Parts: sequence; C-alpha cells; structure tokens
Amino acid sequence: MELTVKGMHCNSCKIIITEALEDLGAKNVKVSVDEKKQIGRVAFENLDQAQAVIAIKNEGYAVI
Amino acid sequence: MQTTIYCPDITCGSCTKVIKRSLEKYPHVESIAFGKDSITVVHAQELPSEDLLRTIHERGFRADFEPFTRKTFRERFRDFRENKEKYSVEYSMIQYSIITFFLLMAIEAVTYLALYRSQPGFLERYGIWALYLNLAIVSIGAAIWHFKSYRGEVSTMVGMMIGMTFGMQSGFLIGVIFGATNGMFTGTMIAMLSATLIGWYNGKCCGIMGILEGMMAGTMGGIMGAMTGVMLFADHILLFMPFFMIITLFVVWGLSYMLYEEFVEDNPKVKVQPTAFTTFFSYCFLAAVIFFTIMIYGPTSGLAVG
Repeated sequence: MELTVKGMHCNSCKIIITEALEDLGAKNVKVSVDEKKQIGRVAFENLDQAQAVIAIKNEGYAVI
Repeated sequence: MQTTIYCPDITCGSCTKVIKRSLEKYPHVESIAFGKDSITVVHAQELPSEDLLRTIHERGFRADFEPFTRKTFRERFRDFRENKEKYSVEYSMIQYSIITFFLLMAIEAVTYLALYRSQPGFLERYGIWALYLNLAIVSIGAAIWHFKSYRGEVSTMVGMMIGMTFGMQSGFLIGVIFGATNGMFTGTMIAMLSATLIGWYNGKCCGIMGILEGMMAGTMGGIMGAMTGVMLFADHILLFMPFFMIITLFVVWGLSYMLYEEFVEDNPKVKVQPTAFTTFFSYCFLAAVIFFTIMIYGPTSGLAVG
C-alpha cells in the first residue's frame, strides 16, 4: 500500500508518520521525502488504507 | 527541578513534536519547553541526564548540556591539539599528505635521474612546476579523501559550497600550472576537464544543485587558471606563484575545516569510513603520472615552458 502525503518537509515528519502507522500495527513502513516539494511517499503493509489516512491526517498532514 | 539541553537542529514544529514525545516517555517529566536552540525539561525527580541526550541523538538531533557555539580558530586549534582521538581522521589526512608529497617528489627525482638528466634545461624548465603540481595533487587529493571519509546527509547549501570550492580551486591550480607549462590550449583543456570532473564528483553529495555548481566552477576555474598562467608567463609568474599557491591551498584546507564544523562535529548521523593510505597514495600517484605525462609530452603553444 502506498500513499502520497503533502506537507512533509524534514526527517522529523518521516519519524512522526512512521510511528503513527506503526502504532496502528503497520509493518515495513518506508517513508521518503522530497523536501523541496514537501511531498512524501509512504509505503506500508498490514494496515487498512482508511485507517492509515486518518492517522496521517491526525498528525496534521494531507493525503493526496 | 529542571534540565536544560541545547539542541541546535530544531527547525520546525515536527522537530519539537518528535523530541517532546520522546522525552515525555520519561517518568516525572512535568513540562517541556522549547527555546531557540534549547529544551528545558521540568521534572519532579532526578532524571538520567545522559539517557536524555541519547534519546534525542537517536532521533537524529545534536544535543548537549553546553550550548553549541562555533569555536574560534584559536579554540579549534587548541581542541585539535588536545583531542587527537576526536580528530583522528584529520590527523591521518595530514600524515597521508606529507608522506605522499615526499614519496611523489622522491619518485619523480629518481625518474628524472633515470630518464631526463641528459636533457639540457629539463630541471630548470620543469623543476618548480613539478613542486607546484605535487602540492596541488596532494592538497586536492587530501581534501577529497577527508570529505569522503564522512558519510551522511549534506544540506544543499553545504553541498553547493563543496562542489563550487572543489571545482574552482582545482581548476585554478591545474589551469595556472598547465597554462604556464603548456600554453592556453592544453592548459584550458586539462584544467577544465579535470576540474569539472572533480567538481561533479564532490558536488553530487547533495544532488543536481551541487553537481551543477561543481561543474560550473570547474569550467570557470580551469579556463581562468589557464589564462592566468599564460598571461603571467612573461610577467613575473615565478613571483606570483607562491602567493597564488598559498591563497588557493588555504581555501582548499579551509574547505576541510568548514566541512568539519558544518557537517561532522556533533552530528550523530555521520558515519566515519576513511579509506586506507594505499588507496589515497594510489590515486595521487595515478594523477601525478597522468598530469606529468601531459606536461612533458602534451602539446605546447605560445610562450610556455615546454
């Protein structure tokens, strides 16, 4: 499962999203960030997409 | 009770969120306040202070109980003399440079005695330029070795500075030397091509911006260096060269100094992976063989030495 997230601009954003998904049971969470465009790609397994989107939004980011 | 931790890498709300969540896991923490470069933790009981630092380090931030202030040059030199372990890579760089320089000079001396002694005027024509070329090769080689000894994420600004400095200074050094020994065409070609490559190789640490900066600087430095060598050839070039070498090499060494301050010091994410002396020497030796072959046997034009 892969999501594109807007508003990510640094390594701390990667940590926040990784932990938010892992707290819900996601596995193999991989996050990459384009700091200039402030867009991140989030790949994960073992978690429902809807739950992941809610978790990411709760952290203050937008899922495109 | 309160503990103040200095953390110069807090750049945004996400950073404060990450650090706050990490520190809130400790028992007895009552509040966490963020200043410009500091974190004040108010706690009901004693906290394991070294663990606090380690927690913040593990999140990728520099942290200490003392403020992070840039050292003056005198403080840095004193720190350098008193903490050899901390600066082990830099001490190695100096040792490798000195040994390589004298080894190259020795090899070239033997080569001259074996192959070129019978050629009249050879030493007078090339002797001083061999010295300058060896200084250039060893200095640039050492600066590259130093930079590549550290692996980590380089900011775009620092990466562009790296690419630009390597490209420009390599171009200047090689350009002036070959402009004087071989004239405008060979000087420009050799300096521009090699400096563009050096600028690209070192600038790529931060992506396309560093690459472009390095290549542009290499092109410019190479052409301008060769022009300087050619134009000054009939105008006190031997008087000019010591000043030029001191200034240019000072900038190259200054780059290593800047890299340590901006990229290496107190950066928990940097990995230290220096290569062996044999690798360093091999590359310098190969560069010397290529450059000296071109200097002696390459095309010459105008008022050049060759």
